[in-house]
Amino acid sequence: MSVVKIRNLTKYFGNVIACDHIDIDVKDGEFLALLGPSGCGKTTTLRCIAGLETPEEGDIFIGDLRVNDLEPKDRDIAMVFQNIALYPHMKAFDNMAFSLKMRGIPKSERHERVLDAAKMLQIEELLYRKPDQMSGGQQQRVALARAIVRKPKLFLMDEPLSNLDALVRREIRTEIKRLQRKIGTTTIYVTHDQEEAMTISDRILVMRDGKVQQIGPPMEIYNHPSNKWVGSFVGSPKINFYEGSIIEKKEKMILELEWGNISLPTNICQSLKDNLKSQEVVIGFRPQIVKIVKEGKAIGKAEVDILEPLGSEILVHLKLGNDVCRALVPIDTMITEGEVVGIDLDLQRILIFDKKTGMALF
Amino acid sequence: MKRDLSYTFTAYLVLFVLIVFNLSPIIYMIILSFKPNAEILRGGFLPEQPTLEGFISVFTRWHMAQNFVNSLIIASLTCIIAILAGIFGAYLLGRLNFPGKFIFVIAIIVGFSYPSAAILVSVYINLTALGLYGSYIGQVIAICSYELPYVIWILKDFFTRLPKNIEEAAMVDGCTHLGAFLRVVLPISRPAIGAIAVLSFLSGWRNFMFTSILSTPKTMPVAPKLYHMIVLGLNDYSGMMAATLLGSIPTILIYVALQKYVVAGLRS
Repeated sequence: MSVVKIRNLTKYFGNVIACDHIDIDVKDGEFLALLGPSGCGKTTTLRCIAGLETPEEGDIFIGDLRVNDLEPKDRDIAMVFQNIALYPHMKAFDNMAFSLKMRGIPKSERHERVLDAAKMLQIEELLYRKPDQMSGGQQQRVALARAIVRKPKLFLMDEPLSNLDALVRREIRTEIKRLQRKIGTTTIYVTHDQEEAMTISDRILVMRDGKVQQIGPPMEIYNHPSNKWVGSFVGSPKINFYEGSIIEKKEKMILELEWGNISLPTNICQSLKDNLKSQEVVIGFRPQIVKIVKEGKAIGKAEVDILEPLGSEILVHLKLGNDVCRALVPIDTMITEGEVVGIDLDLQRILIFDKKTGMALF
Repeated sequence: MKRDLSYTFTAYLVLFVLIVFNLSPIIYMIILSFKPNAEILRGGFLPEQPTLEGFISVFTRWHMAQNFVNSLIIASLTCIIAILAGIFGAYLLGRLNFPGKFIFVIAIIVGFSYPSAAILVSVYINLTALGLYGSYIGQVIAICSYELPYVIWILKDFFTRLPKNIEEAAMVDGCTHLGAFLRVVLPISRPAIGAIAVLSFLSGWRNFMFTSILSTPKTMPVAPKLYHMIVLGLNDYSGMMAATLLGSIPTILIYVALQKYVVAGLRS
């Protein structure tokens, strides 16, 4: 059953469209990440759900209730903000108890629930400190505790980790995932960090220019992006793109590229037969599926430009055709800068897009 | 090292000259307030026979107790009205968007771009027409009409810089917009509001321009009364100095005691 149902959500800021006829269904207990670059409309979508922005069109349902005309306080939600937004004049305890107090929960129950939430997030020792006496990470933990103490129907999180340093960010990211699994509250999480979205969520909704590009589980988004833009936005290091054309020879299909020809496997040919509108395509392949071969069969030849050791792997920048190709290879790969090597690909994991529309063909 | 010493010496010298320049009239006022009138006319610096005659004269001959009460009433009302109107005006301009907001902002800027003397006549005519001539509230309205733009501008800047998410968090947590303002925004703004309250009180206490033309002898505060003492003459220099000293005490006390908080509040 859907806890959140959004239909045709449209929001303008002047002439700029922030949310362009958005439909979303979020299932009970699901963790949905809204992912996209800055200004794509993900925060506006979240703020419309919270009631902090009024959409021009569309319906928002939380549970069975249409909440468009309800104030934020009546939507049974809790929100965690990017800049933390703790009440600076209150101690952590009062920050957490504030929403309970506003709802007339008796003092003894308030006390109990705040202590429970504090225990869950291991912030008992912070309860009597004001926000300015805590680190950024501690403040965000208190903000999370403030959200869970209410036991709302829905958590809304607006880039809660982006103001924290990398180490604390990873730590709290795990904390959020663990917490959400434990209490099972439906969560919508806004982020521009694709790694964060991949690691934390059950499903990702990718947005661009106010429009939904794709919605699905993280690995589906990663392995089968709906278009070229999603493919380039999701995944690190960045995906490689090369333009080419498809030539049909007897039963086979050959992808002709500037730096080599690829004979496509049968399953890809089948898929292309149904979808191919033009011969002109773009091939996309992630650095993880590029193999460097020194001897034997290779699709093309490339010169090693720069090596970036990352610890367990090496990110290799190769001069391939007119562009730079990135390859991620094991750390023990014997390779030197300036060397000319062969390139091979795991063909089952390549992506093919229509050159004109950018839509995925395979 | 030598350069450091000469720099310090010059800095202290400049400061000393400035302090002497600023404090000498106040010190002279204090000395004169303890001198009998005859001794003042004879000249000399320190009192030969220190006396409280001047202070007694303030209350017996000039009956200034009422003027001090009037000053207190006018300053307190100025403070309350400036704060109440200032908070809501500043919140509207700093936080909310509404049609014609730009006109209000321009009006505020115009509000503090002319000297108070420029509106003296129109304020006098308007308040007299409203039947407020001679009343406390008439004087307070006149002072506020000049002070409010400053108050709104300073608080507006404070509200603009306050993260909007704090208020939104309160609205998600169970407050209405007004509730979020009262329960979260106002308590956070306490230092700034406190600083503005002190400055408004002092403006009300010290105002001469409006109170001198809008008050009757019954509602006249200390500042115009001091002027009356000069106009009426009677050569009671000791009384004048004692009245001036007593009239300055709230200003001096507030600045000395609260200066740190006022500066911190304005900075916040």
